[in-house]
This record gives sequence, C-alpha cells and structure tokens, in this order.
Amino acid sequence: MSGGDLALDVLEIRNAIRSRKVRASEAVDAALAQIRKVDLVLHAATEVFQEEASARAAEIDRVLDRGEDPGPLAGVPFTVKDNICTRWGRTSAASRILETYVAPYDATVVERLEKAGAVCVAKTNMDEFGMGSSTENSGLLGPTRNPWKVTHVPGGSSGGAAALASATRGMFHLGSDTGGSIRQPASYCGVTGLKPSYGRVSRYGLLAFASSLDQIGVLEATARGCAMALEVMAGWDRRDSTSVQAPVPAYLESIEKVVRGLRVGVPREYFPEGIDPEVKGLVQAGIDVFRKLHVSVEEVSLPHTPYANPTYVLISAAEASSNLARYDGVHYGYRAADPSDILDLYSRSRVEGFGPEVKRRIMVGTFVLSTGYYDAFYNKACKVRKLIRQDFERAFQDVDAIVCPTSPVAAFPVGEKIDDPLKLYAVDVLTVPANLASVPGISFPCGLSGEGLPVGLQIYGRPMEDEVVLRLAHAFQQETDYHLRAPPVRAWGEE
Amino acid sequence: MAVEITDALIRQIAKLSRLAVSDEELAELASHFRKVLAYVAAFQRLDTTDVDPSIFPLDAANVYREDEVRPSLSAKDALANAPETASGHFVVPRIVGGGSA
Repeated sequence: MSGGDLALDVLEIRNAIRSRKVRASEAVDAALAQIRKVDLVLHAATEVFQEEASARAAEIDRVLDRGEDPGPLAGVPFTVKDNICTRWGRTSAASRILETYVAPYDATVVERLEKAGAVCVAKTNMDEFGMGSSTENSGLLGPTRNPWKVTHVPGGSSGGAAALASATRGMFHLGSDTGGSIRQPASYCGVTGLKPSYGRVSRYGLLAFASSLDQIGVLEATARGCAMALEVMAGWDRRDSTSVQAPVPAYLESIEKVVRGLRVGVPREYFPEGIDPEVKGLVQAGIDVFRKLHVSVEEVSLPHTPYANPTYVLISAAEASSNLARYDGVHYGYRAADPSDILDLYSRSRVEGFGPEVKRRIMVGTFVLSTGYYDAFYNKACKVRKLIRQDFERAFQDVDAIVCPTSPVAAFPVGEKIDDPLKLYAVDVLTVPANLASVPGISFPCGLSGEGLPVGLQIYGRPMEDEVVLRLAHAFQQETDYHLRAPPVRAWGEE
Repeated sequence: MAVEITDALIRQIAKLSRLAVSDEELAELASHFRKVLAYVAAFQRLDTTDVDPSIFPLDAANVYREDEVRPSLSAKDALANAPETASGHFVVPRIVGGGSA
C-alpha cells in the first residue's frame, strides 16, 4: 500500500478490503506502522499487538480468499482504551493497581467488533480510571501529547485514543465517556468523538468508574466512521442489564438522510463568561453551517446548566468510591508487601496502588455517601440531576438536537492545570450534562484557533436518537473540511 | 450545610475509604475537600423540596432474566490475577484467631 492510501478514513479502508483492493494484512500492518511511528512522540499507546494483530489479519485474508464473508468490518483495525477488557495484553485503566492485570474475557464491544472481523491493534493511554481531562493522570505512561501541538494536552480521559485518531488514518478507536472523556479529547485533537445514549452500547467489560454515567463510544476522523463502528457495537446484551432492548438502526445508511427541516437549539447558558472568544466565534460560525443546510436554529434554555458540574463532581465521586472498593489487593492487582492484618493489606495496597486524583475522588465519594452527609450532598446532587434532566426533556419538546461548544477552551499546555483539580474539572462544564441526562453527544472539529489548535462543536440528541446527532455531524462534514485538516504530528498524507 | 473540615474528619473518611493516607496527604486532602465544598455550595442553595432524586439513568426498574445455568469463569481464570493463592483460594492475612495477627 502506498503512503497516499494511508490517508483513507476507516470507512474507505473497510470498503477497500471488502472489494479486495486492499488486503486485511496490508490495512493492519499499515495501522501498526502508523501507531509505532507517531507514538514515539505522542505516548498514546500502552501496548501494540504486532504479532497477534498480524496473525488475525492473515486469517481474515484466508477467509476472504476462500470467497467467504468474515463480517462487515473484515480486517478493519481498531484500538481499545486501556479500561476496556481485552484478552490480548493488559487491561490496567492506566492504574498502577492493575498494572499486571490480564482480563480473562473480552468486553462485549470487543467481542462484537472481532466477530464482525475487526482487528484490535493496540490499547490506548488514559487518565487513571477515566479520572481526568488531560491524560496527564496516567499511572503507567507519561502524559499523552497533542498531535497539533506536542507541548499541549490531548484532553482526556480518552487522550490516547484521540491523539491516535488525529495522527493516524484507517482505523477507529474505542473510548469511554463518563463526563466528556470522549468528546473533550476529540475536540482538543480535531477528530470526531461519539458518546452514545446511555444503554445503547453494553458496558460489560468496561472497568466501572461511575456506572450511571459511564458509556463506551468511538473516535475517528469522521462521523461516518463512528456510525460504522456504532452499528456493530450497539444493542442489548444480557450481561449488562442497563443495556437497552431496542432495535439497532442501520446508522451508516440513516446518516445519509437529509437534515433540511430539522430543528436545533442553541442553549444560551453554553456560552458562559469564561469561554474563550475564539472558541465562541468558531462555534457560532459552525452553527451558521447548519443554517446553510436549512436546519432551523433557535435559542433554547437549559437553566440548570451552571449546577451540572458540581452535581457531576459529587455523583461521579460517590459512584467511584463504591466501584473502586473492589481493588483490595486480594482478588487482582497490586498488593502491598508484608501486611500486618487484613485492614493494613487493604489500606496500604490501595494507597500505594491508586494515584492522587483517584484517591481524592474516592475520599470525596465516601464522604458524600456517609451518614450525616448523604442527604445534604449525595441525595441533593441526585435531585439537581433530576432538574438537569428535566431541562433537556423540555428543550427536546421544541428542538431535535442541541448545538453548543464541546469545551470552553482549546487544548492547554501540559502542566498548566494539573496542580489545581478544580481548574481541571472546569473544562468539563459543557460535556457533563449529557452524562447526567443520559443523552447522546458528539464532538467534531469546526475550525482552528489562531494558535493552530482545533475547536470542537458539540451536538446533543434525545435519548436513543444517536442517529440524529450522527446525521447532523455527517451533514456538517459533507459541507466542510475541518475534519480533514492534518496535524503537524501524523503518519498519514505525507509525500 | 456548613461542614467544618478537620483532620479528624479526613482521617475518618480515609479509614472508611480503606486508604492509609500519610499526614502529608491528609493536609492536601483537607484543602481539596474545602475547595470541593465551596464549589458545590451554589447548588446547595437550590430549592429541591418537591424534586424526586434521579438515581437510575433509565426508566427500567428491574430487569429479569431466566435463571439458567451458563458457563462462567473457571476457578483457574478467576484466580489467575490474584497476588497470592493457595489450593484454589485467595490468600489473605489471618482474620480470626491466631493471637494478635
């Protein structure tokens, strides 16, 4: 395969393999080579599956050579965030406490993708257990770097996935999103990132952070690449009782439907005081693209938006404190040396195995769930969550989707916010509402700042209407070329 | 609700969290708690008298399935990641009896 072909997006690679223009082995080898090349600078992969992936691709080629169909994603390479279980390699959630953990099973999404013929080529770096917005909180690797400016963060927590989605082509990337962890890094790295509706995709095999907010999703250059992956990943799973029993639409087909006549709302609360004026300008210009596509644009109000982030901070911490209780130095993972008794074993294994941000969140979560504080903090937050959900229900009576910025700022320098957790939490203000309200959200690029950093436009849809947000993003990408812009660090599109 | 963040409170939370935090970490955590409480103070003043808390993200209350026997992890797989095992069990320090340990 020539260098120029590497610029193919993942859907084009899929089609090229199916029409036998490209062999699965070529596509997978190209993906592996691209990752190895950019990773020297980006530190985005925690593991690369050279031999396993090549062997699997050769097997798929043999099936194709026999004239059989290995599935709709035959030979399509993909990467998996380090908090999603794969039998290949380790699944550590970028935590020292799980540094040596090898999952005894594949997550449902991985199983479905592999059954469809897709080939896992690498695991990607992240903030430990998904707790962070910059991928500086990785307990295993140094910070992942932004391909647009290597002095800057890629966003987080799916920063490894976003950096690779930006710097490589011809593969897609699994991420997870609890408060913006797919959309915010997609925005900072200039790629498309979809957080599906809660329940649309099985969470079985995702290491739990906050179970009422967590969702597995996908990042790629294009909305149609995300649609292609979602079509295979989505659907009910008996092993996740929160997965929804609803038919899975043919997303790849339905995103081609016209957007003319759809109504989108722009929430006035999503342009807060602290928003970067450049971000505001590019997002507003992006909204004009929808006007040009004859989508009706109107102002809406989501009045409880200012309360969303505090609500998220408490609820996600509460659920994390409960979910992370399982890391006890007994069943798997890190164990402290020479424990004097069982409590010492638990307490030292945990304090030595978890990073500082994870400990902070476990502590805050334990506090808000403890006697005397439960009503004033946790239960109060759940009530405010209800008000936030009602804001969305009301808005969605008038509009089909909501359009807004993904983050109030573009990517920031490594080290700038890491010492002040509250400052770092603030970059999530515009993404956490989707998780609190269980609605689908997508982020895609709408331009570059003067500094050459991508800015993301975000679309929210009604619960289970993932098709609508994908369709709007796809229509935007048919009209613009922001998603095709090439970052300085990349493995594709070179002479 | 105004909460006074004392060392004793943080120590108690650390104990409940099963985290053997050092004195240095304790001071940092106390400062973090103060910032978080200040951050959530605004919504504390929000009137939520007649609001039902939203705890579950979906309407589905209980999801039932047939109680069928299905393959599950083998004991070998379940123990494969354990830091210490013996004859098909997880090993922990002595919990009952055996004197002071």
